[in-house]
Amino acid sequence: MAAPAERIRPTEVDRVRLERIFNDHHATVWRALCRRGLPPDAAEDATQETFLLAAERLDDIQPESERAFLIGTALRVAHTLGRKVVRWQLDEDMDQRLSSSRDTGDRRADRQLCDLVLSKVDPDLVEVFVLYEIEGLTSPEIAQLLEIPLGSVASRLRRAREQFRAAAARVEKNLQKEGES
Amino acid sequence: MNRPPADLPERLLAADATDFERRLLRAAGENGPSRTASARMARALGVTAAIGVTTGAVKTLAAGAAVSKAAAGTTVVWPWISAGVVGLVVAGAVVGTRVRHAPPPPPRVTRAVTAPMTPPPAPPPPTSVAPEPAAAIETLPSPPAPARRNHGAAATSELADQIGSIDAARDALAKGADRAALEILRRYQDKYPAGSFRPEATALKVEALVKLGRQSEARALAERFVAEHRGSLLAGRVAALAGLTP
Repeated sequence: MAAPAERIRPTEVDRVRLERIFNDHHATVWRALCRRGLPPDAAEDATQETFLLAAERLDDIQPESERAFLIGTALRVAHTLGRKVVRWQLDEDMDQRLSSSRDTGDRRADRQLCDLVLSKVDPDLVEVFVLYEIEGLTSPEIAQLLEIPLGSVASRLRRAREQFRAAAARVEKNLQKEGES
Repeated sequence: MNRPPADLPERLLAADATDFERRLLRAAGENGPSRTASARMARALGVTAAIGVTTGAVKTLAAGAAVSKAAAGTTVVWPWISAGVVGLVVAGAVVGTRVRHAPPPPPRVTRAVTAPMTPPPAPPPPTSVAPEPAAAIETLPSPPAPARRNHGAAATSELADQIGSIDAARDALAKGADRAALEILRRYQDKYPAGSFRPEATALKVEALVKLGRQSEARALAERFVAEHRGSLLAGRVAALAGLTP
């Protein structure tokens, strides 16, 4: 018979704090992971992993750095899942997404379109774009969690924005063409 | 040379985004996990999810109260994590969730995770189940204080009841009350023949049978379970418990 799990004796941590940061930030973490290209289920798993890691280091996380810590951890978790696979999945069903997104009033379709457009942005740039434009992080926060200089945040954001806007314009044009046909 | 933060441009949404760009960015920014997913994640952490809804109202649910995905094989997640991840019932529950959601990940490096640690919030004890043996019942943690509303009360109550039963069985096992655990699981399976936590109940039942020395029953049950859940980490754990060869 296999030995039963050897459990680590639970230690006292500030569960109240964990609960608070979970409720404050789990949607942001999940969303960031989705925008990073993870499917919702994988984003859920990665979010869970992120908070488990946070639970381990709760005492080390400064209150003002909670969000940055969580997002940074989430992105590292996402990296372990494999960027190429994630992006390949995005590209593979691009046509289907495009086709299913004709209803411009559909929020879900819009999100899919946003994912599609983001998938066209250089992977090295897209994180800065998502964190700044969608999640509303400040440049120091982004610099800290991506461990890059502030200047790199600005330059990556500029290039990411160019690519995002170009991709968005192409997608919009394609949608208009489909609508006319 | 580093630019100061002020050199960053205004956010697109506040600047010159096109209507189409605004639509996409707003949709992305409004996106969030479903309440069910939030509850599952909270449950894994042993916390209570206070889940905002699009109307701005806040609904507080018992963590894990809505776990419909569990019906598709998602495992209930224990509020603490074992040392040694893969193949252990406790941690296996956590990892099993991941496996259900994602393609098989590479083998994880075993690591100890110290989790949230005070007894987890649990839903109210089953209301329509007859009193359980004291050893099992007394180990059930009290539900968290947060007020619960009556949104989806029936479904929530049923799921909470299911979770409470599984928690009670797990706790009974942890206390060595193996027979009590079996009885709790029997009642659970009788009451919820299509319950959301059948896989977890079966896994716990195998564990209880093994602990009671009822190897042949455990093995037969484990073989059926593995056949039905082949490839899942929970199946791996069950097989290991029952001594099945991989």
